[in-house]
Amino acid sequence: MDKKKIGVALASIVVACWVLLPILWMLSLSLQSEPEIHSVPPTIIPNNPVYFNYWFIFDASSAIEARLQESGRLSFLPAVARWFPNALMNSVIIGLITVVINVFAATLASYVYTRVRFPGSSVLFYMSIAGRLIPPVAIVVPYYIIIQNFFGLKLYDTLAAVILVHAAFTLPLNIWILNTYLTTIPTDIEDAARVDGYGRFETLFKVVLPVIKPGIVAVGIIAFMISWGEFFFAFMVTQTQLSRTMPVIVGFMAAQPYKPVGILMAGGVVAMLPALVIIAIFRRYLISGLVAGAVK
Amino acid sequence: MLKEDIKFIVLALIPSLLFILPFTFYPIGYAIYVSTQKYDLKYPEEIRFIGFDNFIQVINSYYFADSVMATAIFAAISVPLAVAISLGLALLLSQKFRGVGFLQWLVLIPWAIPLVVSSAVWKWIFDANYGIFNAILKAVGLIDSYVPWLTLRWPAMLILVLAFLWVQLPLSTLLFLAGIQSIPQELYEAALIDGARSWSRFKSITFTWLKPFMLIVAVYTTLMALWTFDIVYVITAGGPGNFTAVISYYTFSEMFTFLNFGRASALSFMVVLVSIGLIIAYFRALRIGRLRLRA
Repeated sequence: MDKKKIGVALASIVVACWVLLPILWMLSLSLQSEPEIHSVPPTIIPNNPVYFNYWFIFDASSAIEARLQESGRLSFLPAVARWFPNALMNSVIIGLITVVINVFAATLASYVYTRVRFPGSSVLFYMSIAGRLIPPVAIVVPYYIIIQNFFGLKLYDTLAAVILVHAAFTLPLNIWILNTYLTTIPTDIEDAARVDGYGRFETLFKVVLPVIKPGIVAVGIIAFMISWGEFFFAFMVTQTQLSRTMPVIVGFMAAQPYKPVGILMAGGVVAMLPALVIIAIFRRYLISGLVAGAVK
Repeated sequence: MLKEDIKFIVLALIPSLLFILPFTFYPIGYAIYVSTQKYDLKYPEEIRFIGFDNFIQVINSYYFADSVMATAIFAAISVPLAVAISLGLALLLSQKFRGVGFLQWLVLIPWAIPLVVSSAVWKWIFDANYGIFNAILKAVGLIDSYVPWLTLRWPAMLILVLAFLWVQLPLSTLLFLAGIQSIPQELYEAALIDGARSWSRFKSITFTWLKPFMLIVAVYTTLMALWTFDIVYVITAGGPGNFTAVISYYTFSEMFTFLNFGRASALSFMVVLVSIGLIIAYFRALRIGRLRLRA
């Protein structure tokens, strides 16, 4: 038994290193000045950490002014960083709404596909998930056209457009996941509930939901994280900086003729924080022994 | 069929279909249409039907063979690794030990970092002059002088795989973890009573139960590997030579550099065909006849 404990401990350490080393390196780079970043051998722990990179992404104009007064000259800085705080907020809003849509629509849809027999159900199901087989590059133009006129709504360059695209992007995967999850859940208790006179909706919300909570939480996390990191479509359906999302602004910061590594890394560190809080909140519901308990 | 059931089906399907259908049929139809047209935005007046010419042009292009090779190598290394490692991770994270909650949280972190940033971090780790990897190797005494890893073929490819795994593992691990949560504990208890050893318990219960989840992970990771663009663009830009220039790298340049939408769509369709072939292979390999729709 102790052998197993040691194995688990060792594996945990390896996993922690694998995840943390690149992140610590990112953190370290974000606290270095550009000359320090471009020094040989590399500085592993900055001796006198500089906070300019963080200052810059949160308040670009005042950071630039301070730098000018201090040294009288500027190295190349990506002015687009001015939009970073706003983009971060946009991403949180878009991500959370995408989660709500996914949890709601994917649960309902996958429950219908797994529990109700009706003609055409498998065709609808396969159609729902098949759209994801085509590489994004090939379908970005039609997405763009749909967004210009979605059932009469002009959504181009709005947060709603990004939400819509992200929902369309994440739902097929999440319906498939929840479908797989639901097929593993025995239907005995639901049947019993139906016999007791529960309607379909009642059965779903009162009996099934508590049992499939880990699956729904996983789907919620997946929806948030895919939306949080998505660059390509968010870039294509927005135009003004006001409606840009975090990955797009960070992408712009990286796409400069001279790449400001420190600022990019600071952006990465800050970008990671809201998502970490949200995963921490969701994650506690992920593990639960409800399945076994409820069937007994 | 009960009237109540019909009402339920319609009400419950509307929310998802409202989002999915407009973004499925029209895009697929459009992509098929464009792939059969001479659709080069540099010559918008010449847009016309040309049948399979785009496909033939793409297959005969200078980049086709090499990019198929690069994509195949990349996917063949990264997909099996992603599936195996994430399954192992999920098994570890479903044990009960102190700090497992923290570890579950930790494993999801790479997901939260924008892809351009995490790619840039990997690039900087392996940078010839300023990278920490060379500095450590030299400090330990394994190398005498700095090695330009990203200009060497196989090291460059493996660095791409590392960066890919780092961002892909959270999703697959989470999926397996949710799958493991749904395994009824009675099965293990029964197996224990029958005296099954831990390996056969794993094989006959955990593995069998997780098969449909494994299918999702394999399909999703394969699609992601075949579509990989950002990582390659940031870390190696296709080099050295064009050893790591994957298909999507050329799809992007056909589309956004040469504005040849027809050829970009044709390339995408070949990727779709390969994906479908692989998905069928996965069904066979996992002995799943078809997706189970019902419990």
